[in-house]
Amino acid sequence: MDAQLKKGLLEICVLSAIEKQESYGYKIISDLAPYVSISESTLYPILRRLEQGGAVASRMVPFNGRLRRYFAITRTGREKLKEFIETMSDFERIKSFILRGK
Amino acid sequence: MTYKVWERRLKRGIKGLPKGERERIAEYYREMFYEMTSRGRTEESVLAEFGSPEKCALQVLTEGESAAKEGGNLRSVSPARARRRSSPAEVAGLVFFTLLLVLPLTVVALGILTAFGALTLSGGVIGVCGVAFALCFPFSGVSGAAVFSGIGMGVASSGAGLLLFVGFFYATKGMAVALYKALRAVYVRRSR
Repeated sequence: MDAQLKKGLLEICVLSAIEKQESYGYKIISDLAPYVSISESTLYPILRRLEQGGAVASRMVPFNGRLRRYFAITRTGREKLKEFIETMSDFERIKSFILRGK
Repeated sequence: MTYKVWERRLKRGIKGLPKGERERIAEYYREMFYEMTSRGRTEESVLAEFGSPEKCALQVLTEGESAAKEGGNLRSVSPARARRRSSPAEVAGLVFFTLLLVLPLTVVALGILTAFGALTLSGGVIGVCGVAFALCFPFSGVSGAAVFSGIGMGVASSGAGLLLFVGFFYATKGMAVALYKALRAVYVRRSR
């Protein structure tokens, strides 16, 4: 798969993983594991990019005597997800055309 | 390798990034490490999954660089630039160290120039005295003492100049080689 396309898809996957409720790094990787393999080294830049782009906000929460960073989707992040879903509808039509009769 | 060593190597790989960003990255991996080991994973297996700290650092730097190119806000430093950036203390130490070696080298170089000058001058004296002797000798074969003493002084100063030149030449060569080796060792260590 094209590197840029994969990068974009992973960002959407991460946004989707935190859409319903905020989550933390390890849990995001675990939740995505059945659908897409993402390493710790890959997740960090994605989270930072989303955060600095305003799609995600983070906060530190005390947990078992240490601090755990939680990530929550923002309105910008929800709009980004919505835009992707709409793009996917177009993509399905294009895919049907490409695969017609095959 | 322990996690502490792994983290230290990671921090070294990202030392070109701003302090806040470095702390975020270290905190991220620390948290990930604690989450995984608290779920029964061994330190060794977690670090094996993380991969080499240098590779992780490079990935962070590379992703930051490509995000910056795309117009993103992620502050980035190219991997090469990140490795080269030094603290003010390191720069001051390097300047002082270089000066310490360059100053004696300058003195020796000046010494060589002086010796060369002396050699040229004494060569000139020989030449003049030689011409004077050749001109005077046919007319006054008895008292050529002045000419001979002039020649003698010229030869003596030539000899002194020659000895100085050889000595300063080898001293300068030795110091230049030592300076080169020392600077190469310092710059190679910094670029690692």
